[in-house]
Parts: sequence; structure tokens; C-alpha cells
Amino acid sequence: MPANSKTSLIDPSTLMRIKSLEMRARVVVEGFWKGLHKSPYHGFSVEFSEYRPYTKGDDPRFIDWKVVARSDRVFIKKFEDETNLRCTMLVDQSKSMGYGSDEYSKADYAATLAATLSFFLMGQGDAVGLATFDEKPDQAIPARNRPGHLRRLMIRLEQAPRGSGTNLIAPLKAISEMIRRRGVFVLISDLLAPIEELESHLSYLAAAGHDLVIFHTLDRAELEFTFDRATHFRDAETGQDLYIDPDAARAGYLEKLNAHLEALRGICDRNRIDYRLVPTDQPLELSLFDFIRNRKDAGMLPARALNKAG
Amino acid sequence: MSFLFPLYVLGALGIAIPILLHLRRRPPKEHVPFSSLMFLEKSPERLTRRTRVERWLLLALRCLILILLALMFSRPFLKSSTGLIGAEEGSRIVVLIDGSASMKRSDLWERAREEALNALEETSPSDDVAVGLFDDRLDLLRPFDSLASLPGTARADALAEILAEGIEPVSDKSSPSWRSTRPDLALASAADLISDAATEKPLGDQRIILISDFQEGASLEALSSYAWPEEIEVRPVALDVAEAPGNLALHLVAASSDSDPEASAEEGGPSSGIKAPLRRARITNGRDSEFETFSLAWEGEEDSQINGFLPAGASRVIPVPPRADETQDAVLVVSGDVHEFDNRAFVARAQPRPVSLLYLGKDADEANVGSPLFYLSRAMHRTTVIDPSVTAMNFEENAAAPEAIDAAQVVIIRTDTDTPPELAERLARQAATGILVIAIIGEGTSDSFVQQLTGISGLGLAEAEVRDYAMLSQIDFDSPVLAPFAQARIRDFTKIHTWRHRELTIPDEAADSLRILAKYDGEAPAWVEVPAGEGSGGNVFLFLSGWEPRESQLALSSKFIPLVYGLLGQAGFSAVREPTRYVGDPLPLPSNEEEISITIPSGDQVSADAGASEFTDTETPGFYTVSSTDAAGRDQTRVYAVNVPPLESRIETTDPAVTLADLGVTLQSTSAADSAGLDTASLTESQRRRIEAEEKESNQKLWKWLLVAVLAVLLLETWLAGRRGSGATAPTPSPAGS
Repeated sequence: MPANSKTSLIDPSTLMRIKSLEMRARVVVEGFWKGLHKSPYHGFSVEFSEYRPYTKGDDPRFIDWKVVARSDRVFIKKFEDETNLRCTMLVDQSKSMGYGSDEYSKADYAATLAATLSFFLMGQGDAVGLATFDEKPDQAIPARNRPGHLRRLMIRLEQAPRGSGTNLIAPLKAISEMIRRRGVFVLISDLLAPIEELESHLSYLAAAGHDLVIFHTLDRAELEFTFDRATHFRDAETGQDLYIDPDAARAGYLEKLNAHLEALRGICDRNRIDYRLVPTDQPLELSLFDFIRNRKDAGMLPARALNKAG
Repeated sequence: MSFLFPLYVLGALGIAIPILLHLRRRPPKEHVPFSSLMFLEKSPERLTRRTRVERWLLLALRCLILILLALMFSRPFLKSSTGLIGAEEGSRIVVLIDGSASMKRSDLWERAREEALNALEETSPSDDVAVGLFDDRLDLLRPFDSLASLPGTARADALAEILAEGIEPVSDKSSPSWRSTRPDLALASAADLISDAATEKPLGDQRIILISDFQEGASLEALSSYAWPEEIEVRPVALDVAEAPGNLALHLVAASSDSDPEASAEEGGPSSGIKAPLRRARITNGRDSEFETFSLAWEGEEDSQINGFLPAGASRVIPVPPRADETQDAVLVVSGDVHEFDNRAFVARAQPRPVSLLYLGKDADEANVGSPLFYLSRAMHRTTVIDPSVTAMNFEENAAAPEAIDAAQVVIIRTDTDTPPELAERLARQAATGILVIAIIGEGTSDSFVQQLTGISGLGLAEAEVRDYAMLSQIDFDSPVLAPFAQARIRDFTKIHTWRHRELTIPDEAADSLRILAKYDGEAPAWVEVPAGEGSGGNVFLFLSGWEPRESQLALSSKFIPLVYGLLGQAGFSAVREPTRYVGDPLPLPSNEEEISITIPSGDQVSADAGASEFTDTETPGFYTVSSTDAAGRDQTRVYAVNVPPLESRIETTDPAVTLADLGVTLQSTSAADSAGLDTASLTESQRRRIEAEEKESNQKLWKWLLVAVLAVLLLETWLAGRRGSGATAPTPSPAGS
């Protein structure tokens, strides 16, 4: 997506005025497709995925006998289901996600992002699961692609953030144990946790063979610390109060934040984790586009999606 | 500026509390939620310039409130007597100094003077001040206008001058008088004085400073019927005597005439015939007395001294040793205590007044039991008061010496058929000059005699018909002659039986010109009094029955002697003993005599005003000799004894705060009065200054203004704080860039 076309994108604050999460996701995705294709639904194939030569041990059921008859070579016809992406959304619903300097919070943004991705992925037949977490994991919704599943996801996503602290360790560990099948994990979080813990657990997830995409949602106020009045700041998670004079504290804050982000990038680079910093005022289409391009680069997305995108 | 309670000023240190509270970096109350504080560090708190200024203003106001409160509690006052507030409305002050006899004790008078001078020095020029000296009357030494607009010291000087020298016409004020104490009258007069003056212009405090020894004998009765004006405060200044307490009081009680006439006639010495009365004296020892023995003697006759024992608080009436000579003035002295002023009782010499009685009658023989003269002459004998002499004549003798009637002061005539008729006219003429004529109307007296004697025509006489006896009834006790019999115990005349009497018929038109004092039970008049003429003291007295036993039992009854003396009293020769006179009591002066001069105890001679019937200037105890020359050119001398009022001897002090408050007098409030009620002589200089400070403070009442200031500042502070709270509420901080 060219940078100068940003004006045609939907402003997140405008988008957030739509109450229904599903509708929000639909608006983003359809707009995205409209920008990409002339007709997003045209030529969409559900069944066929690809042929590959038969190897020993393959189920003879999947041999395309017509090809065998025609070319006398045995090909296995791979169906969509097999090659489908299994994508699990890991959405942080801790209290810190409830912060937002604008009308919407980071959690709203994260939910919309997750919904958008889910809508997009399910729209092309991928299975999408969801696990929300605060300091402990909620019951995860396994990745599926069947009618009504999307709605289930939406309902779960619409829950307000309620946890107290961001404890990524336990949820990530639990989820990685819970979901054995390899797939893509999309972690949407503000990642406001000590960097050492993050490293160990992110690498654990990566090491388990999962593809990990991180959307690091941060509010603009968090990124730039745009406060101007000295007052008490209350930690959303711990409830701790701290008197802060922004003029004095800004430099130190930004320095520490940038160090944190740098460290995160380093961790992600080392663990081949796809890391995206997503300020909450950034249009969702960009995140979606980044995600798709990333998948394409990683060769993880089915060819048709790339064809469509191309 | 000084403080009554300077320690409270330390309370101003309390301003440290709001200062500390202000200095404490009180963080803003609002909280801004933020996702995480992990990248933030606590900033040192700084206050914005705007809030700082407002807070400092608030702080200043709050500190001011505390300082004002501390000042208020420390009760400031201005040292100078002309206070800010006092300058506008002055007090009206009356200083009353006790000048009664009991103030003669030790140095009481000196101290009373000093107290008065002090009180005056404390006044400010705006005060209206009057000074009065009181005993049993109030002597206003300085009325309000004479001391107006003077500084306190000048007033004190003026008063000192009066008290030291004494000014005319007021008698010597350099010492207390001998009179009794009536603070009630003085207080009431002073209160009226203030109230009267207060109508002219409104005033602040109205105060009476009462400097007295507050002795028990001071009378306060008049206050109980006086509605004390509440706005007038009384500040009692009690003086106490440091000397040994206790006082022996000596007072003569009424002497009795019970002593044997024969014996007294012998003892009476050269002037025998005077019946020496048995005198008694009441000697009272004070409650808190420290001595218990006394001795009593006539001055100059110490060999007759009586020594006695009298415990504290006791009172005894003891017989006084007989005097060597009743014809001399004498002083009875009690000794044994320290206070001399009431130890002498003055007793004047016996001065019986001669009265000449003339008896006219057929049987003018003292030895004849059947004659009224027999009883009359026995009823009359010489006492210390009266010296009657009875001359008896029958009609023949009288005809030979008719001038005897002119010389007599009382004429008693027993009439009968033989009475010369011309005697009636002569007696009537005599009665008109003031002589008492007692006519005993005997059997056979002619109508015309009675008509001529009384001057009432139409009177008729007839012998009454008496069955068994007649009794006296309808006694007119209102008559001065019979008034002594009015008491229930002795008013019974029914035991006096009358066997023979005359009936007097009175024409209706004459009923007003005579007075029937008693009647017989048959409605016939028994005793008739006929005023002889208008304006004259003498009169005619008719007995319609003889008093000898042949006619009635009157002369034998116990009523006879009092009746005869009552008649003598009616004629101006009272047998009643001279009352004991005290200082201030008036002395009677002889009427219709000229050139009256009085020798007062100091030896000076004072001439009485012409026409005065009393001499009132009895200022000192002692003997007053009234000398005069009567119409006949004879020198008349009469000595009166004047004594110290008995109440003055009761010198035990009372608590004025209690006694006055009980009578509804507004005492000066708060502790000032209490401390003023203390013995001021025993106060140290610092205590005295303390009392002065309290008075000044209570006069100025600066704390009230401080309270007003506190309230004003408090209002300002509330308004400022409210404005700051509402108008300057900061909007919830939000990121500027969003």
C-alpha cells in the first residue's frame, strides 16, 4: 500500500464510532479488497488448492484419478482444508489495554484489529481461533472455519478489558500448550511488561514452531507522552499513583520506551517474529496490508490470496 | 497595648500549623489514568505560580485569623486610662465613703480615704464622678458637675483637700462622724442620682464604688423595698481591721423604777427625794472576740467597778452599780476591748420637772380616806422625770388666796352643792390659758357650774339612779389619755364598780364640742373631756363620779395611777422617761421661750434658731445642755445625754458580695468584684495591678472588636477559598497532541 494513499484510508476514530465490531471489521476488509481488487468475490475457489506428486504414504483417496488417466502420473490433489492457515488471535485484554487518549481505547483498537483479521481470514476460508488473556488465559476458542464461528469470535472480542496486569508469561505458555497444531499466532498487545520476561516467552512460542505475528498497539499518548500538566498518574493495572511533571519526565520516558521498543525488535528479529508497532491512530487497513504482505513474504499464505493481492 | 492573659499570645504560634500544611506539597487531588507507569519516574512537585499566589493569600488570612484569635483570648487592653472606647462614652461613677462611727477604729478612715483617692485617680476625664460621704444620711461632697472633665489625679487632689480640711458649711470631714451606718439609704440615693443624671445623656457604665467596713450593724433594710436599677453596678471595697478582733458594746437599757423609794431617798444623798432608778446595761461581746473579761464603772467612781466574764458572742444585761449622786451627769465606761469608740455611755443628771397641783374641795385633808385628795397625794411622788407637789385648799381657803389658782399648773376640783359658782368662770379662764382642770362632779353640783366651766350651755346634771353598781364601758382608747390602756391585757375596766354617779345630759348641738371618753353601762357619760378653747393645750376634764370608795372603786383600782399620770401628760408633764438619744437624734427645745443656747460636748455654745422646736445638730456623743430663760425670767437648764448608736458596735464584718446580692443589688461582674472585695490592704502591688488591668479590660472590651475582625477575615477567607475552588478548577489533563 503506497504511503501517499493514506488519505483514502478510514480514520480509526471514525471507524470506532461504528458500534458493531463485526461491521467495523467488514468495513475495513471490504474497503481493503475494494482497494485491491475489482471484484473480491470473483473466481474464488473453495475446494482446490494444489497438486503435488504422490509420495508413498499418501492417502490414495486424494489421488486425482482424472490426471492419472490423462497423463499417467499420479498426483495428489490437495484440498483447501488441508492447506488452510490456522490462525489464532491472542488478544491482550489487560487493564492497560483499556487506556486510550482518544474516544477509544487500545483494547477497542485491538479488538477491531483482531476482528478485521479474523473477518479477512475467514472470508478466504482460513480457520481463526481466539484466545483473550489478561494475567491469565481465558478459555481459547479453537481455530475453525464454519458458519457462526465468526460471530462467536466477535462476541468474545467485544468483552471489555477486565484483567489487572499484563502477564504474558502464563497465558502464552498456556496457549502454546493448548494449541499443538502449528499455525500462526497473532499477538495483539501493548507488551507493557518487563522485557526479560517477554523475550523468554516469545522465544518459547517461536520455538514451538508457531509463526508469531505481533501487533504492538500503543496509544499516541504513550508513544510521545503528550501530557502538559503536572498531576498524578495512576497506573491502570496496579492502581499506583505517581506524581508526574510531563515536562520533566518526558525525556526519560521516551528514552525508556524507545529502549523497550528496541529491545522488542531485537527479540523479534532474533526469533523471526514478525513485529509491527501499531499506534492506535493508524488506519487498520495498513495493519491488514502489512499482515498480508508479511504472510506472502513468509510464504505462508495460500497462493490465491497472493494472487488476489497482486 | 497590654494583655490580661499574656500567655494566650503564645497561641499565635499556632500559625505554624497552617504554614506547615501549606508548605506540605499537597498533591493535586485529581488523577490521570495511564496505562503503565513502568517508564515513568516520580517528579519533584512544583506548584504553579497562580495557585501559589492564591495559596499564600489564603495562608496569610488563616494566619491572621489565628493571630487575632490568640489576641482575643489574651484580652488586650490599652494601658492609658483614656481608652479608645472609653473615650467616647464615659462612666458615671459615685464613690461612697463610709463615715460612720465604726470607721473611727484604728486606721480604717485613713484607708477609706486612700481607697477613695485611688478610685478617683482611675477615672478618666470623660467619666462623671461624684463623691459622697455617708453615715445615716448621704452627704454629697462633690456632685457630678463639680468634678466634670478633670483627669483622675486632679479629682483625687480635690477630694483629698476636702477630706483633709473639711469645708463649710459641711462640718469637719477629716474624721468619721458618730452616726450609725445606713449604706442602704446611701446606695439608693446614689442610684437615684445616677439614674436622674442618666436621663440627660446616655452613658456607658454606671457604677457605685462603696468603700466601707461592711460591719454587721450596717442597716440594709431600705434596699429590700428598693427596686435596684440593674444597669448600676456596685463595687464594694471592704476595709478590714488588722487589730485584734472583737468589741465590747455598752448600752443602757430602760431603767426601772422598782427600787424602794425609802431606800433611794436615803441613798440619794443631798437631793433626797429623787427616786434613783435601777439601771441596767447590756454588754455585748463580739462573736470573734479574743477577750472575755470586762469591767464596768462610772467614770470617776472606780471603786464601784464591776468585773465580769463574757464569752465571745454573748450578751448580758447586768445591773449598773448605783451612782454616788444622781444630780450629776455621769459616764458609764466599759473597758476590756481595743475599740474605744463605743465604750462610754452617757447618763444625764436627774432632772425632775416640777409640777404644782392644786386640789380644791370641801374635804381638803390628806389624811381623810374618804377624800379624793387622799388618793391623789399618794399617787404623786417625785421621780427622775417629774416632781409633783400637791397643794390642797378648801373653798374658804381659796377664797382667801385666789392667786393660788394662777400658780397651779393642774387644778383638781371636787364640786358639790357648796362650790362657789364664781369659781367656775375663773377656772374656765384658767383652762383657756393651757392649764388642765380636772373636775370631779359631786352630788348636788348645779347645771350652771358645769355650763360655765365647760362653756357649753344646755348641759344638764342629775343624780343617776344606780341599781347595784354601774360599770364603765365604751372606753375611747383613741384618746391620748386612755391610749396606754389600749393593750388587750389591761383594757378591762369592768372591775371598777361605780355606786353613785351623775348623769350629764348633753344637748345635740353641743355633741361635737366635747369628747366622751367613757360611759356607764346606762349610756350616761362617765369621763368627759372638753377642749377649753381653740389653739390652747389645756382643757377641762370631767369625772361624773368621785373616785373615792364612797362613790366608786376607781381610786383603788390599778388603772388609777396611770390615768392620773396620763392626765398630767395631757397637761404637758409627761412622766415618761426621756428616751435614750443617739447621735443624730433631735433634742427638744422648750417652746415659747427665747434666747436658747446649747452647750455641745466640745464646750462650745450654739444658739438655736428662733422658733426652732428641735436641735438636730447632735453630732457627737456626750452631754448637751439646753439653757433658756422662760417667760417668767427664770433660767431653765436641761441636760440631754447623747450616745453612740448601738448598731455601730456590731463591727463584725459581713461579706458585701453576699449581703448586697441578696438584696438585688447588681454587683460588679466577673472577678473584678471578687478581687475588689478582698482586703485591699493585703494585696501586693502585682495583685493590685492585676485588678486594675482587669477593670480596664472589662471597660474597654477590645476582644469584642477582635472577634468582629476574626469573623470578617473568616468571611474573606471562605469567599477566597470558595472562588479558588470553583473558578479555578483545572480541566482534566489530557494529552495536548490528541
